[in-house]
Order: sequence, then C-alpha cells, then structure tokens
Amino acid sequence: MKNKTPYIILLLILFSCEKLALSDEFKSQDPYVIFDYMWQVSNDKYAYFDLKKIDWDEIGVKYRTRLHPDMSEEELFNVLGTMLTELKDDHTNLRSNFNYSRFGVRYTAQDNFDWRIVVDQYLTPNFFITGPFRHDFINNTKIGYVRLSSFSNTLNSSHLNFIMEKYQDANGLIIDIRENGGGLLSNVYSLLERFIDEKTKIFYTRIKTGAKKNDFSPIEPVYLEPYNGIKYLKKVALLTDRGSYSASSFTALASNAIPKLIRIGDTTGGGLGVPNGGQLPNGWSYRFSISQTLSLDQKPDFEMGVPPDIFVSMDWNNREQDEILEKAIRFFLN
Amino acid sequence: MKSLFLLLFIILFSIKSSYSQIEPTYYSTLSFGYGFGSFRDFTTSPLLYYGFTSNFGLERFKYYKNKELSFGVAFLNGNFNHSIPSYSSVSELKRISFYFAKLYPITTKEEKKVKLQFGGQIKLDSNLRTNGSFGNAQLGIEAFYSLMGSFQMKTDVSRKKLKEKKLLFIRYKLYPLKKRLYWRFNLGLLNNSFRNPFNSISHSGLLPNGKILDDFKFNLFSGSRFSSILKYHRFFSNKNRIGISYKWELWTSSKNEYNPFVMTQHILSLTYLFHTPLKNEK
Repeated sequence: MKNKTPYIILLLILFSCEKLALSDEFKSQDPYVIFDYMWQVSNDKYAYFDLKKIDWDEIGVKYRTRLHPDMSEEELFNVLGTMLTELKDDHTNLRSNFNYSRFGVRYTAQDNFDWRIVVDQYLTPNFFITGPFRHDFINNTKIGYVRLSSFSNTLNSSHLNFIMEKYQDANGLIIDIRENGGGLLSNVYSLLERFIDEKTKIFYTRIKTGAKKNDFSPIEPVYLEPYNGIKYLKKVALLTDRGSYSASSFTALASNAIPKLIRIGDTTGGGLGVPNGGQLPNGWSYRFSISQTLSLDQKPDFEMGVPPDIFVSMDWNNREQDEILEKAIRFFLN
Repeated sequence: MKSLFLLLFIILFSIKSSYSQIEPTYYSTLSFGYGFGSFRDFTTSPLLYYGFTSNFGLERFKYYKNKELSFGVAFLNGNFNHSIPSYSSVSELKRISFYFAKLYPITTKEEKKVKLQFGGQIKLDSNLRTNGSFGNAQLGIEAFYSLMGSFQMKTDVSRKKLKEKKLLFIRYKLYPLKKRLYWRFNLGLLNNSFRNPFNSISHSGLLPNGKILDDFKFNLFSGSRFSSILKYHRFFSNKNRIGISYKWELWTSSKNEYNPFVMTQHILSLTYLFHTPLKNEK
C-alpha cells in the first residue's frame, strides 16, 4: 500500500485541476444574464444590421429596461422574442418549450395563394405526386404545372428526371413556389441546374467571421453547373409571393441570372442569410442569419425580398381563378 | 520558449540510447472501456454537456529494460446532454485518437524501488459531434494535436513469496505473482487546434461544390492539454499481461478564441497485452 499512496495523491490533485478548468458557471436562470448573452451573440454574429439600419445598441437598452429580477419565464421570453423580431427576419427565432418567436414576413403582405383553387380549377383529380412535387398538364396539355411547397426534403434526381421528361414537349413549365417557406439550399441548386446549359454565376455570398460589424469572409461567387442529364431549356415561369422564403428567395434571386426563368406574382419574403443555431444559458435555443447573399452587382438588398418580373395579385372576390397562375398561362400562350 | 520545447522534442525523438541495443519485448494490446466526460463549445452553447462513453483501443508496445516506445489508436463514442432536463439536447460524439510515445529512464539504478522515466508523445484527437437541436449548426468538428512532455513512475508490486491468509474461517494461499503499477502524466507543450473558431456553419455549406472545413483555422501554440493514466498490470506465465487503467484527459482551446472549447474525459479500461515476440526474440 505504501507504494501506491503517491499515485492516489497525484490523481486527486489532477481531479482538482479539472474542476478549475471546467465548471458549469455559465448556466443561469437570471433574466439579466440570459438577456445580455442573447443581445451580445446577436450583436456579434447577425449579418444584416447595416442593410436594415438597425441600431442594436439602442434596441438593447430599450428592451433591457423591461427586465426585472422576479419576472416569469413567459415574460422573459416575450421580451427576448420581441427584441429579436426587431431584426425583421424570419430566420431569427427564439425557441422554448412553450413558445417560438417569429417575425412572420408573409403576413406583412396580401395572401396570394390558395392550393384549393389550383386543385379545383386547374388540375385533374388524379394529378401526379412525385416525391415532393404535385404536378400535371394544364391548359389542354400545353403547359406543365409543378407545385413545390417546401425545399425541406432532398430533391431526388429520379423525381426531377420524371418531371423534366414528362413536360419536355410542353410549351412552357410553371414552377409554383408560393408559400414555400424554404429548406435545404442544396435543393435550390438541384432544381436550377435543370434549367441551364452552361456554367452560370447566380449570386455571391459572404459569411460573418468575426464580432465586428464588417468582419465578413471575402465575397465569393456562386456558380452553378448544368445538370449532366435531362434538362428543360424552354421558358419557365416561377410563381412567387411574400411567403416564398429562404430557399425560395434563393431560387428567385438566382433566376435573375437565368433569362429563361420569369418570376410572376409578388415579391418574395427574403431570408437570404443562412441561420446559425445556438443555445442560451437557460437552455432555450435561438437562431439568426450569419451570412449575406449578394446579387450579381454584389448588393445585399434582396434580403428584403426578390421582386417579380411581372407583378400580379390575387383577386379574392373571384375564388374560381388564380390570377397569378392565369398570368403565367397567358405568358406562355402569347 | 516554444522554440526551445520544439528543439527538445526533436532531440528526444531522434536520440538512440544505449538501451536500444538490448533486445526489446513486444506487446500488442486490446482495450475496452467505459468512461464519463464533459465538454463545452461556446460556438453553439455556454452550457456544459455531460455524457457516458464507450471506448476501444489498439496499441503496440515495445518495452526495453528501461525504455518504452508505444503507438496506438483509440475510438470513443458517447451521447452527451446538458443539465437542464426540460430542454434536453443530445450531442452524439465520436472521437478517433492517434498517439506515438517514447519514454527514457531518469535513473538507471536497478535497486530503486520506484523507477522514474521521462519522454514525450505526439497526440492527435479528432471529434465529430452532431446535435440535431442546433439546426444548420448541428455538426461540430474539431481536432487537437499536441506535442506533450511525459513523466512516468513505475514500481514493481509483485508478490514474491507464497503467503497464507485467513478470512474468518477460510484459509487461502496467495501465490507469487508478478505485478506492476504505472502512473504517467502528460503535459501539452505545443498545443494546436483545428476548428472553426467563430461559427459552426462553414461558408462552404452555402456553395454548390464547397470545400468542407474551408472556414476552419489552424490555431498554433494555443490552449492547454493534460492527461494522466494510472495502470496496473498483472503478468501471466506466458508473458502476456492483463491490465486495468484509469485515464483522465483535459483539452482546452485558446481562451483568446471568440468561442473557446473545453473538454474532459475519464476512462476506465480493461486491457489485454499479448506478448507478440519477433522471430528472433525469445
């Protein structure tokens, strides 16, 4: 035992070293600690303060005065969530077990989509469902209509092959991404590569790399290579509205570089910053945009929404017609 | 100072002591273990994550009379969670580690009961962490590589004579047995890391053909690193050994990074050392 004693003493000393290096001192339920952490991490990482002309210091002071030591979790959530909506960005959210804060950009403009009208007035009852796509010929088999309601699930090349082949001889193809709230950015590339026949620069990006306002990575062009297989190289109408967010806005922005793609409908919701997720000292989670997507003239302005080439609104007095879809049909017939 | 450490290491790994001429004993080892660890990555959370791990390791030892040379690979797998139960957030960790170590005697006197050795090791640890609750930021990757100074104490705790014992009314015999106890401490002298120090999302993630890890940075001569291992070996008549070990490790990235990383690990392992002599070794 005498031989083993120094070994045991040394181990105990090392355990003490670990306690010094690693303790859970950042865990907290103190509203001031949680607020300051949220404010600081947003201040250091959010990518669009300048574009949106947001004075985050002023906003921090304004909302910090609403704190008090005995406030409930719900009260604290309301203060933090409301502060984050000042960023006017649906990629900025606070999530707890009881609530999820959001800006709700799609509700800042007129509603421009009703799937029931499309089904009742334009599609046959047995329209095709191919993976995430709902599609069929419309207008007496002259035009292909493809509805994509989300970019969340990976777009399978066999699904896209089927659609490209089916509508290869149509006079035009309509891709409807109204009220498509986004999803995977890779899906944007998978879809758009079907509509180009040469390498195309579609936009630029940069990402925050430091805590200062202008700490961004170098601006990098994003090039898209044409798909090595079946493509659709005739005119395509892209239907958008204020609910076309994130990956849908990326699609709309990229369409500026693809002349065959014509945007019809309303301005998209924006959301061109990629959201970064994290956690607060009380376990709530947050996310906000930490990158910028720039147009071909290297401006970040389309974060506020990508406008259509042809602006059309729904007329809700006539529920038997989708004015945006009608405009796209007329566009191909003319 | 750092250059001096580097020079010392170059010397350490290049010298050939006189012991090199004594025929060594070779061992190949297989280890299984369980452990407990914790980490904090400010990139995504200020909270400490705790978890149990399972471990598996393969090593090759070359024991000279007083010198040791070893290299090995170890795998670790575990699930970690923070300590706020109502906001459970599981981080799955997978780690692969490589090391190469050399130890030399401080004194060569045979009569010393506790033998002291010094030396060094090169160690590389790579973590792959996934936590679905962080959305786009769910993937955490980091690598730590260090040149470490090592100090080892070893002592022979063999039972040399037959002992007769009695426990209550049961008499039993303890036969002579060869046993050894080791304690080694490794201190990181040149600590380096490879990680994204600001975001867990890389710029490459936004590009159609982005290069993975393009926003990662080599952070040289930063952070700290310690490890300690207590080993008990029991010899069999065929020179094979069985061992129990307790290992503790601590990694920290530089405190100057915007999002520092810290991690610690405790592992209790059972090891079987196969005596694997070369053709000319008895």
